[in-house]
Amino acid sequence: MWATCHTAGCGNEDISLDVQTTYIDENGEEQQVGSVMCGVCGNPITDLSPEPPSP
Amino acid sequence: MPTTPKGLPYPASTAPPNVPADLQALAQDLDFTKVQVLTPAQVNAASLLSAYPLGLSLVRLLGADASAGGWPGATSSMVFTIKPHADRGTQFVFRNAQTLVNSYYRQLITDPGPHSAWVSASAPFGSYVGSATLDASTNPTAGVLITFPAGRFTLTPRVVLGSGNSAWAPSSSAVSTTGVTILARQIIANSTNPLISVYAVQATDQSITG
Repeated sequence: MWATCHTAGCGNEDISLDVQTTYIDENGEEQQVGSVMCGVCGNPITDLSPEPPSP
Repeated sequence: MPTTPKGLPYPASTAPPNVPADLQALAQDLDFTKVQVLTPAQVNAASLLSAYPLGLSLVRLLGADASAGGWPGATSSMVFTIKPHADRGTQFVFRNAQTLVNSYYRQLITDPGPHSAWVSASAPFGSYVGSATLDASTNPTAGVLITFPAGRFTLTPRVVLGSGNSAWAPSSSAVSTTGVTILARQIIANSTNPLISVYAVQATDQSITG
């Protein structure tokens, strides 16, 4: 999944990162993350796309 | 075992009786009363291993000495060398510039070198790369993916988590070069949403960077 932060002035602004939106929980089962946060600006990332950004 | 009186305040070695004689001798050599002070010329010699006495030695390098010897950084430093055997040893370098205090170590492998690469022994446990307040309505909380600063890591970093609420024990999952998923389990009854901070460090055999 490609996550893109669009917060103005954020260091990751408009940069698409190839992230893993699933994880293995304590019971060994695969789970989907509840939300995605930008570690740079702290805002939620809602632009999640299965496709990489167009060049 | 026979013991040799040592200078105060260090007590005599008290190795158990089943320790081989050569190891007992080594323990004697490593006693702090036998630290040997070397010169920059000795510590910069090409034949490092043969130039060193057995046991523990130290030398102070000024900037020019450090530059001449290929040490990790041309700054003044103290070099401690432990040589337990004729053809092996370990060196520890403590740099002591005014604004730079850190340390490195390496293994002395052959004589003359090459020796092992210098490894930082004072790297930070990680730089701050993000945080999130988790939703305490479930236990454990739902996972939250935190993205790292773009381009910060080329290798999957090691992650350390800090919890702003001791009632919640954080954990990480699915660490990659671009992010980490964090969640937390409640260990003490508490309904406050925990703020979890993420620190990450990237390490190779030769370096550690935050």
